[in-house]
Amino acid sequence: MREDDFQLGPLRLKSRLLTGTGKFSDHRLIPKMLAASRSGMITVALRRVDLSDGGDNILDVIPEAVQLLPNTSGARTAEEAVRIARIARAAGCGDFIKIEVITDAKYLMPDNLETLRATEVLAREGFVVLPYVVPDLTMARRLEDAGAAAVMPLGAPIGSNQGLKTKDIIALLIECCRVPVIVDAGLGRPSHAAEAMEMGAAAVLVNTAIATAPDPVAMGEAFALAVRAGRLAFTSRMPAMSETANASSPLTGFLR
Amino acid sequence: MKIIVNGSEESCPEGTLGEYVRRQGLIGQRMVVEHNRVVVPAERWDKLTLAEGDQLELLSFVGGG
Repeated sequence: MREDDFQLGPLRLKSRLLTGTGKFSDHRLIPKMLAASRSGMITVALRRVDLSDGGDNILDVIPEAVQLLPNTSGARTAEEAVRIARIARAAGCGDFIKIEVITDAKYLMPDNLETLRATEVLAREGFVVLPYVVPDLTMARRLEDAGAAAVMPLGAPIGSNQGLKTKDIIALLIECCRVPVIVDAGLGRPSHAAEAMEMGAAAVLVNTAIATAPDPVAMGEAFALAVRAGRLAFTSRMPAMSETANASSPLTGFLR
Repeated sequence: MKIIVNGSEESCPEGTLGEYVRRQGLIGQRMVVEHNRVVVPAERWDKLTLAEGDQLELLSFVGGG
């Protein structure tokens, strides 16, 4: 297959599939999923240690070669997101941060304004900022101006597996943004990921659909293949659709 | 003395952060500790003496998207 690396901030990634560590029934599946999918970047979250059980550390199952992408989940304001980002960096997780600021409990919609405020602060501090947002072109431009390394619009609510419900706006973002557009959240099937990549998304981030599949390792591979297929379709430039048929075989009659 | 750990007040004998962490059986974990909102690297845990009213946040990485 052709080389088609993906530049994200200072990092060159071989795979355009980003994955997450949430919701796996067994954390030992994570390294197997990473091997099968070849995903080079994976999200983690930061939480208070449960003093009764001594805590559970997800970092132990993530291979060194895979870039950690800490998220700021749990943050309800820009200030909380900034604090989480600084802690994650101090913990040795590197400069990447996925900003996730959520106050809406039912649909888990990100708060774009607080996300922008956090992006402004963290980009100035040298973080590689990946903001998770409701797709909005004006906001995407403001995020770029604030120094975001990418924008990550949601396809559908987190964990909903609904696919590209926000497709039309994401298309505008892909057309107009200078930074990579990474579709995050809501992609439930490999075909959803392929569709995002066919549209020209730089990458996709998939967690729930892989982690909660009965076979997350095989599903990781399925998403990787779909991402690759969608990307190849985009770079090969798909022919236009038409209202009527266009014969694929010569129209001269057989033996006539 | 009283300190606040992960939002809850608790009693603890005088001593260092390192001693506290060992007493809790948390040593050897990849854990992040914030002391009064400042992250303390593991190599400084034994040098930091806890004081009355100190706030500790003990954090670790978990699965998440």
